[in-house]
Order: sequence, then structure tokens, then C-alpha cells
Amino acid sequence: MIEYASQVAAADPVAQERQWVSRIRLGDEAALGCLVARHRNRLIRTATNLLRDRHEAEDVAQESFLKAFREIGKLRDDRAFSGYLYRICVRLCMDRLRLKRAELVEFDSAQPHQGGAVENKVMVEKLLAQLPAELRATLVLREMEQLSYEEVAEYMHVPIGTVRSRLHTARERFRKLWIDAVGER
Amino acid sequence: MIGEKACVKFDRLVHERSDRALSQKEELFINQHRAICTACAQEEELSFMAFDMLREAVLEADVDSGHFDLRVVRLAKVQQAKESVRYWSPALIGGAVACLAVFASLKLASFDGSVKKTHPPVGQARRVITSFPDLELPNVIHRNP
Ligand SMILES: [Zn+2]
Repeated sequence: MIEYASQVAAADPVAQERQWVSRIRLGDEAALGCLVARHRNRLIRTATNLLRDRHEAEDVAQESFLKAFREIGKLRDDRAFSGYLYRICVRLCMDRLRLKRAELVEFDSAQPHQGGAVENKVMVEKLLAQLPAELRATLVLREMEQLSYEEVAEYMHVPIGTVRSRLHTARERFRKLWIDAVGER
Repeated sequence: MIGEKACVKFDRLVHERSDRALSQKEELFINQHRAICTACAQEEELSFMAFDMLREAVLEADVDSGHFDLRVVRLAKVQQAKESVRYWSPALIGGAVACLAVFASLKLASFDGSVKKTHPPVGQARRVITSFPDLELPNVIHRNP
């Protein structure tokens, strides 16, 4: 697997990925491993920040890879693989977020907050949990994952205008929730 | 440079600043408005703190990469095998049914008929229509059991 990766390492990443995709179609297991190794960390990181749960993120990343490999034959353009993979991942995360929102955790104002890094992460988690899945995903992809508008639009499968308006609303709501929460501290 | 309209414009530009470079004129407006409107300056400060905290709350992927890769590749292989079985099984079943049908028809064709051509039945089967309904066979049997 590693040998195979080093053989084609000299090529540019896009061409390399295209080659892997076409080899997977022919049943090449090494190419499968290369593609997983390339996208694994970023995919799990994105899912982790969307779901705020590392174990669930790993499950979603695994499910995304399997779904993408299952439908690799349907891809018209081999270069489209990574976009397709991230789109599946974001969609799966949003499905889970919608389910989670139904069992929304109340913000616990009685809990002591000292403003430490862990405290802040917990607080961000609770604030994000109060946003609808679409707004939350847009905010996380843009602010935490630092994706461009075009990438957010591609991964969420919506027009750029929708990303713009969702982001505006999400920022506004997050800011208000944050001000309320800080006021309660 | 102050008033509700100016505050709305300030708010909009503060939002847009994180997505695009503002023009010199827009930057100048923001600076001037901030200097004279305490409410907007405070809002901007809070926004800055809120999004700073959001960005600081980024979680990094913490995964046993070797284990993850092996698991995904293994599951993908199992999935591929299942898919190919699912893809080929209707064709295999169809082929088996066709083979059975061909075999059965060949077997039937090789059987001799119950009436051999070399041994035709003796006598003739004949039905005679008469002008006397009483003499028609069913009626005769019915009357004389
Ligand atoms: Zn103002």
C-alpha cells in the first residue's frame, strides 16, 4: 500500500487521485487504501467539528468512504471524487444533527464557567446545539473549517447565495446566543 | 455618520469584512462610526469575542489512522463482494432456469408417444348424427342404464 503510494507520489495530487479512482473501479485494493489515507484526517476533522463527537465522527467518516466507494461507478468525472466524498459526509452529519436537535440539551446556566479552553469548547458545543442543522453546518464549515463559499456550497449542495444568507443568519444567531450565555455567567 | 441607518450599515460591513476585503471608503466609514457610536463599538467587540471563541473551539481529528484505514479497506472489500453477488445473482438464476427448461424439453422429445405409429388402434371412432334425437347416444344411455 505504502509502496504504491510512493510510486505515484511524484505526480500532482489531482492526477494522482484520478488514477486511484480509475484503479478502484478495476478492483485495486492498494488504490483504495491510498484514497482513504489521503482524505481520512480532514474528513474526520470536519465530521468532528460538525458533530462535536469524535467517535460519531469516525463512524460517519467510515460510512462516507463506503458509500462513496459503492457509488464510484456512477461518478462521471474521476476528479469529482473528493467533492463527492465530502458532500456525503456533510449530508450524513446533518442527518445526525437533525436527530440530535430533537433531543436538544438545555444550556445549563448553573454550571460554573471559568472561561478555560475546555469550558469554552463545552459552551460552543451547547450554543451550536441550539442552531438548526443547516445554519450550524454552514457556520462550522466556514468559521471552523475555514472553507471558501464555493466549497461550502459544493459540500452542502446549495447555491452560493444560500450559503451567504445562511451564514449571515447563523452568525447573527450565534452572536446573540453567545451574548446571552456570557450575560448569565 | 450616526443614526439607525448608519448603525445598520456598520453592522452589515462588519459582517462582510470576514468574507471580503472592504474598500478604503468602507474601512473609513467603519472607523468613523466606531469612534462615535458606543453601542456599535461594543457590539463589534462582542462579535469579535464570540467568533474568536468559536474558532478556538476547533476539535482536531484524533484517530488511530492505521486501524481506521485497514477497517475501511476491509469493509469496502466485503461491500464489493456483496455487490458483485447481488449484481450477478439474477443472471445466474436466469441461466439456471433456462438450462433446466432446455434439459426438460430435450428429455420430453426423446420419449416415445403412447400411440406408436407402427401400431395404430383397431376400429374407428365415429359419431353419427341421425334425424332421431332418441337414438343419440347420450339419450339412449340415460333411458336404459
Ligand atoms: Zn451605531
